[in-house]
Amino acid sequence: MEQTREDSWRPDSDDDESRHDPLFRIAAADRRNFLLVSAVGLAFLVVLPLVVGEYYVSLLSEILIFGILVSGVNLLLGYTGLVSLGHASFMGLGAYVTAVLAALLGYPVWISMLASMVISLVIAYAVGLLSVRTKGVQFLLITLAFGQMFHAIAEKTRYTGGDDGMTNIPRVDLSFFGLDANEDHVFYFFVLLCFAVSILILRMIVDSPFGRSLVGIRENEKRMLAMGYSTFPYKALAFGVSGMLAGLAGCLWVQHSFFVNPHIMTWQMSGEALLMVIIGGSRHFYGPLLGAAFYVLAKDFLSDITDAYLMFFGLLFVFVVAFFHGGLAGFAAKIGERLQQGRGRS
Amino acid sequence: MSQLAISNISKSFGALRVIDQFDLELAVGDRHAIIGPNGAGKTTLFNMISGWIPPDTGRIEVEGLDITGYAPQAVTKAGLARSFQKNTLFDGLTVAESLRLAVQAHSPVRFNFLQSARLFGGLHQRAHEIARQMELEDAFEAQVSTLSYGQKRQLEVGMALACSPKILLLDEPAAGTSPAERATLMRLLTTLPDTVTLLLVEHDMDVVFGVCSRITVLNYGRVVASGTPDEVRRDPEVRAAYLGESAGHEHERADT
Repeated sequence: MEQTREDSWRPDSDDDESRHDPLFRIAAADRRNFLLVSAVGLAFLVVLPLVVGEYYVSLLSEILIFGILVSGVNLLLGYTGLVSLGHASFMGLGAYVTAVLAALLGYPVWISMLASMVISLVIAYAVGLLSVRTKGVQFLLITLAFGQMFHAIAEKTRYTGGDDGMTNIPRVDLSFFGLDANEDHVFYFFVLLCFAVSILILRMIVDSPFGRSLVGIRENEKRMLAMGYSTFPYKALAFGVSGMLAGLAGCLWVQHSFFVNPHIMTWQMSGEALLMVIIGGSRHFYGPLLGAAFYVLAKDFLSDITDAYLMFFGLLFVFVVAFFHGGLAGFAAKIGERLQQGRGRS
Repeated sequence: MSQLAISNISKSFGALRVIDQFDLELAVGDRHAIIGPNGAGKTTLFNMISGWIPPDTGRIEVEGLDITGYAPQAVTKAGLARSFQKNTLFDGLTVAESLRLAVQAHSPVRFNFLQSARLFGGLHQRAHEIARQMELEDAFEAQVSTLSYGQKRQLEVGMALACSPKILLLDEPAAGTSPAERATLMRLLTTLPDTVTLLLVEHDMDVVFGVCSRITVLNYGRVVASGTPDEVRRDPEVRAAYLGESAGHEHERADT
């Protein structure tokens, strides 16, 4: 028994006996499925911008930026079971730090990006430490209060243009690689790179012992405490990481649109991020990404034909929640199962 | 040195004295039951020992370490794990995942946030070992919400045991189980390794007398009697407060 505990902190080598265990076969199949979906998705995201027009490339960038935001939000909502209404403020924080450093102080954009990620991680972790002691509605309200506080600061600060915000924010300088990020295609691939790295790291986190503990907290925090987990730091760290991803989304967003104003920090924005996660399916790793794509495309399509696009969007939301159990990803998974069953029968 | 030493703990809720100057000492490998009618203060006592409620007065020690006022997670780290009277499980996870989380809680692995949890075979093997011990091997990959009630009670005990505790506190493990499920539970409890000290709260007298070598009887927060099962059985005050009633019921049933 002591032997096992000593060994348990070291990953097994490939020739380990336990690899032949049924569980490892299930794990391997899981991993194969994930890699397959990821590879197909990535190929799709690489090829698509080469065949569609400039406008759609810009929309695709938008989808990926929101994809980073909502994947981070889902680390809290889907994996840890915490509903935050303050994540737009971390997106705004990332956006403003990049804007101030790059446009006002003249630092290179990539340094501004790193700085905005570190700052949003630290501040989100601190906000997390203060918020995670509460649960449910209280947690929702305290994150809302923090969000509104950051929003108010952005609105009142003259240095950053107050309510008008700031314009002429530069994009990342890729001339070292002989590329110009002001071209939408080039910027898209830069966003895709950031997106892929974020998704990879997030996947490693949710699959790790730490990530499994977050799921345990979602399922039953009382039991986690009784088993000896100090759950507060776990939740605060999850909050920090998801805030950092929101910050990354924000600093890509300002480069994408060349400007920033306090509007991206409103609680409505936080709410829309939650909507994307729920529409996409919070229990599936890629669910939120589907939600982001659905959100951006539906908004784009509907706002072309009507001013009241939010009303239709709301109806669509109700439809998805009512009929697609587990969101779009749950629906897709069910179809996948049916197909496999069908293949098994024939 | 005793493994668990509880001295003089009391707890009042308002004017109600729920636990009055309770003392208990357990040595390594002891099998001790606390019994008493509903409202005797058994669960409050358990909640105090395991850190969920701070006692008003008194002192609780695990191997000489004063854990009075520790938070639940710190109590568990000190080597005292508990189960719950009402199932407190991870309904959305499998048995394997639940047990792995319990094992992982006491391994440095829990801080790892970049490597897949499945790579740590040690966790998995220990989880599997616990499942076998709890006779849950066949349900190892089943989702917890799909288990039978009896299996959930077995998992409840298993998750406490997976924390590798020195002292195991079981809060009515047999509550609500069928006779067959109770027989399984008794078999599991009697085969626990004797390096583990067991403190049990239980209403079912078959389980208590079958598993434990010493019994403490509580009534209205006070210790009425303490001793071996035979001593307790013979104690007149206990018969009046507790066993007498239940023996009487059995008698009536036999008559009809």
